[in-house]
Amino acid sequence: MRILVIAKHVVDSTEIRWDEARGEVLLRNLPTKISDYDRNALEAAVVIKEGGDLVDLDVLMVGGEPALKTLKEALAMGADKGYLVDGGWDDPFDPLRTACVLAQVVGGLEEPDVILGGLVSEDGYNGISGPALAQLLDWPYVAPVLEIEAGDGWVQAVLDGGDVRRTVKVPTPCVVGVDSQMNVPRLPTVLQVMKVKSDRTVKVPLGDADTSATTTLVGAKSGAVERRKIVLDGSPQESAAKLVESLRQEGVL
Amino acid sequence: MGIDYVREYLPFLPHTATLVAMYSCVALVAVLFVWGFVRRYRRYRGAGGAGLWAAVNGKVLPWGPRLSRALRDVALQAKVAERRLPAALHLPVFYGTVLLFIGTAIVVVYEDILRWFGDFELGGLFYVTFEAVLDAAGLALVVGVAVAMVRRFILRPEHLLPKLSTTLVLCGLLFMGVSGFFLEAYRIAAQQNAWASAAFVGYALSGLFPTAADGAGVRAYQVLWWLHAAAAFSLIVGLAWTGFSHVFVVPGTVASHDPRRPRTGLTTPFNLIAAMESDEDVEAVAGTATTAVIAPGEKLAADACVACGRCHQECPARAAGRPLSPRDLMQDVRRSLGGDAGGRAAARPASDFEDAVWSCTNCYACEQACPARIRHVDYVLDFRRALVDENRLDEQKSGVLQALDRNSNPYRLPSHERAAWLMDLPYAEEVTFGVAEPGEPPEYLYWIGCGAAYDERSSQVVRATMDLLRAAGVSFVTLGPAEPCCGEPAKRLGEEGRFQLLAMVAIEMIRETGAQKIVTHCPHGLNTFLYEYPALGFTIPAVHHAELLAELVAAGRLDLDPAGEGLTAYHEPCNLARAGRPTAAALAVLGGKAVLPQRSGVRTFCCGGGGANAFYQVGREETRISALRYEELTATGAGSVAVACPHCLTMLRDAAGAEGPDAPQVLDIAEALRARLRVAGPDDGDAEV
Amino acid sequence: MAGRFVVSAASVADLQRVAAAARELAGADGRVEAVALQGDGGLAPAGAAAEQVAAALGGLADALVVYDGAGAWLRGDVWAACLLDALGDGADGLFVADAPAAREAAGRVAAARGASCASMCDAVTRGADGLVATRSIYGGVADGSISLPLAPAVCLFAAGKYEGEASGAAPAVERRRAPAPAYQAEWVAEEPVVKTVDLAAAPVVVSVGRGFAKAEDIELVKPLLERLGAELGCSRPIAEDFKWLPQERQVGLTGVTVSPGLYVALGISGQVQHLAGIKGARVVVSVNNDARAPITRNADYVVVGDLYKVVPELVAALS
Repeated sequence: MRILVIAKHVVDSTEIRWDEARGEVLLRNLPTKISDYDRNALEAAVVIKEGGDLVDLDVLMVGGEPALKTLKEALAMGADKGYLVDGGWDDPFDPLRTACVLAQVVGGLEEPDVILGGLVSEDGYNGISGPALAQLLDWPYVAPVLEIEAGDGWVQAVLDGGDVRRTVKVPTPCVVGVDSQMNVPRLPTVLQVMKVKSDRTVKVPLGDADTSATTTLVGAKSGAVERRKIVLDGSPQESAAKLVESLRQEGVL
Repeated sequence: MGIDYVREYLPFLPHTATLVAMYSCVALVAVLFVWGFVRRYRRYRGAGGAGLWAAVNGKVLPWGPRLSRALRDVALQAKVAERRLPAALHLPVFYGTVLLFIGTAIVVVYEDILRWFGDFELGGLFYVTFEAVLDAAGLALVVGVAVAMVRRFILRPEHLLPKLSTTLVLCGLLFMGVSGFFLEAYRIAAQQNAWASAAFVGYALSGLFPTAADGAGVRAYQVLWWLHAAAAFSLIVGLAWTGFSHVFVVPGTVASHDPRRPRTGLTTPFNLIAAMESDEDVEAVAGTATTAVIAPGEKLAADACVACGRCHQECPARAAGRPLSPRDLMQDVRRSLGGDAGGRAAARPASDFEDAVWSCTNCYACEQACPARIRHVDYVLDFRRALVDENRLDEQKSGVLQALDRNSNPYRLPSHERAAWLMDLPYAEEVTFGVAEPGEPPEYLYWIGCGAAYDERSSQVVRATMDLLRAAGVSFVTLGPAEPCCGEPAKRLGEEGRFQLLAMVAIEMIRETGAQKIVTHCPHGLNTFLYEYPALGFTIPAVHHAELLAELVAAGRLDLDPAGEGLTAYHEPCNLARAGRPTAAALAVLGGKAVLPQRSGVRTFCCGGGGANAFYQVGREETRISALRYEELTATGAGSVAVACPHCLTMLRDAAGAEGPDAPQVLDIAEALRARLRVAGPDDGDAEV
Repeated sequence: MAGRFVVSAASVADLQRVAAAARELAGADGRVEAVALQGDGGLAPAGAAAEQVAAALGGLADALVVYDGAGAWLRGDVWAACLLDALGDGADGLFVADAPAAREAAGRVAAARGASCASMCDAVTRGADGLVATRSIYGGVADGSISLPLAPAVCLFAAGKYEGEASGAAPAVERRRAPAPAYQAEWVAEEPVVKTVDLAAAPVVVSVGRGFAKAEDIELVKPLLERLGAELGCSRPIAEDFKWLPQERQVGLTGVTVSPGLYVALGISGQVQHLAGIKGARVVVSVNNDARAPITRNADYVVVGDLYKVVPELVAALS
């Protein structure tokens, strides 16, 4: 069986902040990593691989040279080969463009039986690239997955249906979107990542993939909601009394 | 005047036949003895067949200090004697046995060697003294064994592990002592020599026996003699084949340890830079997953464990009901030495083992207590390293490591919020490196640490200390919001690679400040700078704020009000006390108004925050370690509790909070001192009450 | 104004919301068509009958198209096929409310039509070239405006409330057959998930954070919950790290987004991820002993003090 995990090289979301002085989101010089949900997907894939049957597990990552170390981390988790798409772009808010490029690149590789990815990516939180890719490839899309089993020609998954957990069986090849609740991704050690040899990574050109934008971020402002910041002083008794009075006046009590 | 007293060799026994039989047995015993030790030595082989001798001495450790320490431990029984009842039993047994051994050796020399060179007889004054001394030794042995038996079979302290081999050895020794006295008594009765009273025990007993040796008596003597010999031979074989081997293995262990590595220092399994720069496949060993991979020196040390249980007694994790007993851990390792080398080291159900390994607070109480100087924490750390290498970390611990990567602190808090409180201080610009005007390189770099950078309460300790340093005119600078994590959580979690990456970043930034020394209020950071960073080429010295503040107080550089009336209970941080940093400094800072709880100094009881425990939820426990310690501290009757470590501050405050609002409060020694700082005139911007 | 909009959702309330958003853009001259799927398990939205759905859309939608035979459960690909059918030659926008299968539906439609697509939209307006969606970006750090020039602009609306009411004539109902799915998905099993709490719908939420020393201390909050008629929530460390409360009580970006009338944060420092989850709260109160905590700048009323002392006083004051 051949599994391809699509993992995104992203800026760490916990370090992003709004730069009041510049009036923009500060994204420069921030640590980068594999998008958390894609790590769940990698873990799921590695578990299938460890399950016994012969599995070729490859990782596809977009991001160029800076993403190389992140790709090595994915390989250290248990993948065989890593494909690094040459060139990239910074816009996490154009998931359709991402899907177009991925479809093009995937078309140039040996066809996988299952494509696994996180349900959403940590930067954009769109959840659109996965199903868009499935549509372009004309494959089934299975998501959000909580448990998964793969066999010859099929994939059986437990899906989070909101108020229901539904198990379905779907023919391969298919695209799978993994939920973060699915597993706890293993963390490779620095030494293990270092040991990943460069010949396990392959640069893949963009070729004639359509990279034209379908959306544009035209403006941004601080996400903070303006709050009144009224400080209620005094002893616990006093401030509690003041608070209750204020809330009554607001009409929320 | 001659003392007409000569040693009779093998009385009441057919001389030649006995000699032949005895030496045949000796030959057999010698073979078994040697075989036992060869077998034992082979078991110490490490990964790739590395032998013990090469592994231990290949490290070029200084022979002098090692041997002198081993000698002191053996000759003075220094570590054993740290506990009273065990001292009462082991010292007599040890010295008694040693003397008896020397006595037997003297006899062998006379009877088997000197005899061939002339008419040497073991007699006269020498022999009389010989008899007296050996009887005293024998008596000591018997009394010691009796005390040991009372302790082991009647008192049965919980930390003492019942062991069949120990029981047999004790019985054997007792039998030898008692039977030896009876044999002597019978001989003395028959000898009728006034000088025989030198052997006072035998002499006292001789009244039981007839003055003339009769047939039945002689036969009984012979039987008893052979039983005595059999016991002796069994014990000699036991020396090689049972825990009795500690007689050799313990001194061997002590002599194999590097005396330069302090108690709170950890091991460095590989160098990341060296591994990165080498082209070959990196063979860096990450921890011990199987018995085969345990280093020879550590196998030797595990073999030295006699399950005395002192570590079990001292361990705070065990006291709190966590599934960790250092004694059981070492015994498990020891047991696995004799088993399948490819098997799991310290084989036990996997979940128990992992829980135990993660329960350790790295407080070194076990290492402090161990008479064999075994370094239990080394094993725990190596087990953790193996678990990390096998990617068996749960989400929490994995999260801590990722947080160190991304946010440069173990709390998953954004790096741009680090030490935000610092910039609110009026003198922030003066003391922050990079913001302050570059001038003379500062004398000190104040290392704030992740705890104080992000925790409001801990940050007050830093503020108090900085106020004091400024008042005393100490030249210092701090890295402030740019300060990275020192890497200690990664080291203690077992991710050596990440630790070294973090350390290298920190080292570069420290060097950039040009500071000559580091001062910090965090003993964990301190130990990391002092004992872990040197492996990466770092040489800048570091001190604890207690030491620096004590210096300032002694030199009169601080204008202080006298200490208040109330007593405070001082809790010594385990990572300071067991590293040998003296209590005196902190007590001086507290102005003599401190009282120490029962477990203090090197025997201080951990607060539970070490070993990276502060960053993850430990599995199972019955009570909190911090609650146990807080109770002990407040039992002194003191009105407050003083600490010298940010982890202790957090843990003990937690415990205090559980006791209600009127419970004695916890504060750092720097805060106590700061409260005494005299408010200067209105135009002195330093003092801020 | 004017233009053609297609809207769809899996619940009646959500359908009202997206229809209202489309109506605002379409105005009186434009056309808003709602799409609902009917399968073996009843009508999506939520098993309601077509007439009920139509009634709820009075004044908001001009037509309701119901696709019959959509299958045993709401499949994203079937939903997408129905939407593509409803879109026909084209529309200005396709608004879908977020639901388990909605992202698949939206993503497939966008790919099939080469259309601009945006997720987690709070609002959509007209821009110079097509529609513009505003949404929270980078985990709530900022609010971004995204231009969607390629029609039909597919907008996935984030969970939220519809405050209005249906007024006006109910739209006519047209029934069509759902297209057959492109692949066979075999239903194997199903089990209901018991949710103990629905924080997203709670009118008052009281959350606990790291200011609490241990799990047992959360008991302190019970009387407050009763007095306020509030649901109990928590910050990420409480649910994920300490596991004192189940995941479903975690408020924040990776947890539940809440929009209560009153949100009380006890011992919570106010990290960005948490703040992202409470943006919709009308009034935010913080009780924290750290005056410097980020929550202080992001609350309407701030009590700087020991929550162990303040909470009992608050309970007393409310009695």
